[in-house]
Formats: sequence, structure tokens, C-alpha cells
Amino acid sequence: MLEEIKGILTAQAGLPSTPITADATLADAGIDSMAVTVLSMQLEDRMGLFLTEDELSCAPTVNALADLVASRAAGSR
Amino acid sequence: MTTAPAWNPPVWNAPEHVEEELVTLEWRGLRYACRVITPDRPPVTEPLVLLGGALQDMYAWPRLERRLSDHMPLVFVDLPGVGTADDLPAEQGFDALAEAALLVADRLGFDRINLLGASYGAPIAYRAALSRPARVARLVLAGATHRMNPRLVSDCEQVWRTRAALADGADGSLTDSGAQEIAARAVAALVNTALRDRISQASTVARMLHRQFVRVTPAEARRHAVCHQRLLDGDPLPQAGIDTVRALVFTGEHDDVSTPDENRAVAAAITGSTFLLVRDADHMVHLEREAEYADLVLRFLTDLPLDDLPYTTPPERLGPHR
Repeated sequence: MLEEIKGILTAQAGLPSTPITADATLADAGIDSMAVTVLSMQLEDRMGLFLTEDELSCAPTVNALADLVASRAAGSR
Repeated sequence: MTTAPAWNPPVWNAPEHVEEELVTLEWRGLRYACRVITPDRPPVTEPLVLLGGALQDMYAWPRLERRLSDHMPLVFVDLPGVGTADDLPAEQGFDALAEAALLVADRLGFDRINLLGASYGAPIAYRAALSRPARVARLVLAGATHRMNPRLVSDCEQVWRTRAALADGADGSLTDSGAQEIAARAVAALVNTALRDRISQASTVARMLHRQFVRVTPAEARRHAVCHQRLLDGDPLPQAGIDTVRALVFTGEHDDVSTPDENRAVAAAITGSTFLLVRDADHMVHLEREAEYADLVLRFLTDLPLDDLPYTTPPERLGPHR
């Protein structure tokens, strides 16, 4: 899931890939309001997952963000 | 075979390569603040002081900050009436804000600055350059107009009227559905909904702005109302021209908040200025095409040519020639 999220953030949200590491905080990874909005919209379009920007922004790290999305995806199956 | 891109956006700077300082200031008894971001390398141009729109505080430019902070010191300002600053009384106009903006440069010991004014920040930057041109090395105005156009005035008044009708009389708060309605109307006033298919990132930007407006507190709404009234009280930009400051005026080609012609008229009042439009963008060009925005600003501030950029219209020289 980490790679999938990284792919959305770099290809769709325009972020550079280098700062997006598993342990990085969202701020250090460059994940700003625009990026969170893109991610929320893309998760809905691609995977049918409804995660609000507020839910996504609460993740303390990129890894936690990936875990949150993965657990929501598992719950929706 | 791959084709090399025609241009490369400024790369993101790593936070460990800059120092950040929060500086508090005072002007006529009002407290305000700025963030100063200093690179660990020698700067290639004068420090850039950024004056954003009425809804933008000193943390509102994260991507521009990352892209430009390797090249020059950056100063993001919460002028009175914005962000963490004290409220600015309604009777104080844009000249007062220009004075407070120039005080930032004085306080930081910068002899000359680059000055960027976007939207609500444009009249402040213009007036600062007009009053002390020797202090301004280069002036960038994004989304500038001499006066608010009738469509925008009408749309904004509609938003305020609706808000007043929906608000709780005691503290001005809104119900959830009221906040959603006001946010939808406010976004529609600020983005070009008719041409959204031609605007980069239009749906993302609209959604992000909507979320931002839903969260506006009654106190913030009162501040926005004061800013709006300031734009209506007299012309934001004076008719007096500027003739000794290098200037770039631009906006998105589909901007209907400050139209291309309105921006062009501002450029025409500045001797030797350059005017152009960023393609596939409207008034929210800093969000819709942030990499292009950063590239354009950096090029201008480092005296690189602006011809043949794939993301803009050809540069026009409109002001009286030097």
C-alpha cells in the first residue's frame, strides 16, 4: 500500500518521491492540503474507499497513512 | 525514445538546508509576524517578501517555499488582519498595509527586496513599490486589478447576504448545512466554474477551498468581511504608475476574479513591465499550476528570459518603455 500511495502522491499530487519515506511525518514528506485532497479523491476513484482529508491528515507518518488505507481497504472487502 | 521536457520546475529543497525564524513586529500598536526562511547557500537574488491573498496566512505557500527556499531568503508575512496578527481596523486602507509590509524589510535589515503580491496582496505590494521604489528590486503581481469587477462584487455580496441570513444572530455561527452552502457559494465566486474543464487540477482545488471555507470561524468570517470592504472602499490600486521598478504581472488565462484585461491594465501602468498569462489556470494559479508558478517567479527574480515558456502566453511589454 505504501508504494501505491507514493505513486498517487508523485504522479497525481505533484510531490517529489525522495522525501516520501515510511518514517517521514506527513509534513516532512511534503504532504500538504492539496496532496491530501488528491489522495482522498484518488482513493475514492480508484479503490472505492471513502477516507476524508481529516482522517488522512491525522496519520503521524507515511507508514501510518499506508496502514490506515490498508485497514480500510481490508474492512471494505 | 523519450523527449526531454521543455522545462524543469525548481526542485524541492530539503528542510535541513534552511533555517526558519519567527519574527514578531509591531506597527502603530498592532502586533503582527513573519516567518523568515534562510537557505544554507549564498542567495542568488534579493530576499523575497510574499504578501498573499486575504485567505492566506504565512503558512499558506508550502510548495513555493520548498521550491524557492534554496535560492533566496523568503519572508512570509501575517500582516495586520491576517493569520496570527492583530485585527486591522476597517478604516485602515491598503496604504497602511503597505507601510506595515515595508516595515518588515526595515526590521530584517534588508536594503532591497523582491516583493510578490498575490490577489489581496497585490494592492499592498503595488503601493509599497510606489511609495519606496528604491527598496524594491523586483515586483511581482499575481491576480491584480485596479478595482473589483462588477461580477465579483455581486457574487461576494450574495455570499455575505446569504451568510447573514443563515447565521445565528448571537455569534454569527452557521449550522453544518449553512456552512456547506456558504462554502459552495464562496468557491464558485473564486474559481472559474464555467471553464473548469480547461483548468488544471480544477476539481481538487475546488474541493480543497470548499473544505477551507467550511471551517471558517465566525471571527475569521468577520475578518474576511473587513478585507472585502477594504477592496470596495476606493480603488485597491491607485492610478499612479510606477516607473523605476522591474515588474512582472501575471495571472491564469481563465481568471475571472481579476481578469486578464484587468491584470494587463495594471501592467500598462508600470514602466517596462512584463505581462503574461499562465495557461490552463484561473485566479487560483498558485494551486492549479504550482510548479509553473514557482518556475516563473524564480526566472523573473533571477533575470532569466520569460520567452518561449510552454506554460504561458508570450510575454507582452505593455507599460511605457524606459
